[in-house]
Amino acid sequence: MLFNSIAFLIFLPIAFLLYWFVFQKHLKSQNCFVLGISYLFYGWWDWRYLSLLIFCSAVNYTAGAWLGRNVNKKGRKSILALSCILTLGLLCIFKYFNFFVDNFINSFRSLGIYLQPRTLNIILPVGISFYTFKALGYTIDVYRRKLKPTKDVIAFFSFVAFFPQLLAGPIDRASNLLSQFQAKRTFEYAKGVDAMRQILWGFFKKIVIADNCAKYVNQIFGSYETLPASILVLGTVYFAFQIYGDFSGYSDIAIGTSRLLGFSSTQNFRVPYFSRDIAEFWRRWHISLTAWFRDYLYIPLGGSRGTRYQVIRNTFVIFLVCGFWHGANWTFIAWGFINALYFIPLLLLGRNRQNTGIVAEGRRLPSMKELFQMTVTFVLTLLAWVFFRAESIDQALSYIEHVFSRSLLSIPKDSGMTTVFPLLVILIVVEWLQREKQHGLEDLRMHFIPRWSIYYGLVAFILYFAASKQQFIYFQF
Amino acid sequence: MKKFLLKSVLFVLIFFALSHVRPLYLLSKDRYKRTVAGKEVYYSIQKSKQRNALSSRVLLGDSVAYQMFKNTTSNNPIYSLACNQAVGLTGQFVLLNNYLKAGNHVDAVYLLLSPFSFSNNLNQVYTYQYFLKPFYRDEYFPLFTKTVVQQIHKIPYYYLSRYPQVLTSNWAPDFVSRDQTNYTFLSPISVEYLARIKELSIKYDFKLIVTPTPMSLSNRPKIESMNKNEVAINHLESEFKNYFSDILYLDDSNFVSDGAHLKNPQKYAEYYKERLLKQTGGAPVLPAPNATGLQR
Repeated sequence: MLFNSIAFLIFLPIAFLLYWFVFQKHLKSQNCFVLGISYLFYGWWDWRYLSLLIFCSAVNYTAGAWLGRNVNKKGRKSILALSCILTLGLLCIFKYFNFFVDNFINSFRSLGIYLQPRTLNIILPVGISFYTFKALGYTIDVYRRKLKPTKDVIAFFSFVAFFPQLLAGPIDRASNLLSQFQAKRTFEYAKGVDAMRQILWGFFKKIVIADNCAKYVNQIFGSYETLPASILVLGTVYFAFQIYGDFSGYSDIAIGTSRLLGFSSTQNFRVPYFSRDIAEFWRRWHISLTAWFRDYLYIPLGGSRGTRYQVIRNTFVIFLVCGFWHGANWTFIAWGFINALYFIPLLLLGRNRQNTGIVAEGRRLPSMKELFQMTVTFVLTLLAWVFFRAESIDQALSYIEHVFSRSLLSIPKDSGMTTVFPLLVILIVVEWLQREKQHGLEDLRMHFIPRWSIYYGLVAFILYFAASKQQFIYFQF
Repeated sequence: MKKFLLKSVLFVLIFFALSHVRPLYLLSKDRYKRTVAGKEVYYSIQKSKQRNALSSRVLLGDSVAYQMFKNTTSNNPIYSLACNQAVGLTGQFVLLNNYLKAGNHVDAVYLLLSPFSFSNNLNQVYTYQYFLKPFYRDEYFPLFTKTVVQQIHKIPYYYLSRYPQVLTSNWAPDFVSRDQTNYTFLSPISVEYLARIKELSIKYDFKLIVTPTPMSLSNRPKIESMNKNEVAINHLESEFKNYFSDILYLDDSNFVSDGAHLKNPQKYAEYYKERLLKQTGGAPVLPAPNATGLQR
């Protein structure tokens, strides 16, 4: 079920009312209900893929239980390895199998050996990258004895399948979310209201910003050879806002929905385009995934400790894996590689933690230096986004080549593509003013009439633009 | 919780009331028909209900026919009701029925459609926007066959198509038909409504001519592999007599990126007009305009 669908619009109020009025008496009934509606939510897309979700939950629940009983170091390692193989194996088969086979065949082809391709005709199950990581994170935490294994099978299965986060995160840790499944939730008015605001802001970002940008991005990337360079630059800017609006919008809706049900979720985006360097950008972009890779991959590899060679190696590994996580295509690996290249100088100079606070803290406007830093960082991310959006590395390189042509400084003919500008201005202004908050509508301290007018205005925008619905980009990951 | 629910309900109620202001205004003035996607369909419907004393030759057709014979301009001596293939043969039948019911005299009806238009079984992405919204009305229900009604009921939220908010906007649900859509030529609905159009031709005594729009060369193999036996099976031989042999194949460079719509429709409009008129005893056919890779 998509968040931006009529089905969800009907599903959420019914789930909310049943949750708080029928199933609120006991913790067990609350959890059973969450599990039931989560499976319904997922099965709405294709019920057959529920088996993968149940398999992944069962593997990691069992691994956790065995780890809790086994004190032998070797035995614990074997359990963890088995859990990793089964969970990541699932991901490899459904997400990466065809990629590996294709590349294997291509490498032989370059040697003049022609193999008959045998790929699997399978659809990528939505959300598989998210729920496998969530479940695996639990097993690793139990292995490291940071977390006690749960004996509550319903709570664990609900944690893995928790519907707001199921399709595109945030990848919440068991230490945060699972513990909430072990205590009865109660409704709080202030949290409920703020959750609704966050959902509203998420829909605005998805439907008004991302979907509008998507229309032009598809046009521009589809015929970039024939367009002037200035339009191509516009295309990359729009894509930057499309992917931000799409993914952070989804996260806002997911977090807001979780809060409506009494859960608090990890913040996934913190105004990343106001970052002053790439290191700061990565602390603000897809926070739950970055933290996952940091804790379960980067730090075990040695992190920023060790020789220069080790530090560089670790940085490349984490960025390349992060890129590959996004999709079975060399373009994502290239995107990760470019980000690693951006990141390494900061790391080697010890300046990767230079900007940890929010930009222009306590001030209304940024300084000239901050503005310059933000612009440079944004431009660097734009270059990397070209690889993320392109169909192939060749297309990305060709696109960039076309950007740096004579028509770069030409003024594009207005073909309606600038109509998105006012919408982007609204987004940027609101996010700037609210940059210290969790979301764009948090803590609106104003009179009832202007406040409700803002809500109605946003809803009107959303409905107006809802006609050209697009799927969430991150579902494919 | 009580406060939260009360405020939520209040918010929704106020919103519900406010959100109806614009649609109701647009509905009352029929202005939405000029702004929504598929406005050419509304225009054809409006035109089909008018009295017309100038021409007795009516043209129905798809969007390529619409490109050459816009329903908003004069195509004398042809009266164009061409709009879009997404209305299906059901929509074309309704338009013709309206036109005849308005008391107009008809000598000939041209059905200018691409071979692919006949596979429309009201199961397409655009069915909601182009067929349901304009045609799912009480006045047309008696004209729908059981097959059409069953097909409509398969479209998600079909009942919302008459709701002011939906009708006056471009919103349509995602619809991927689960039916078998690879009809070899004629869809079941097309068969039913071709027969009904034929019945009208007998009842009102006019000549029915089914004729093809120009097609791209790259579509030729697909068209040639179509099951032409369906024409005989459904007793439509006389209407489709020269349909396939009359197809004008043009090089792909004459079409826009979708491979279906003409880049320069005006170039072919006059030629097609003469050709249609010739089929009903009009002026002799002009030579086809110089087009890249023109083939017959």
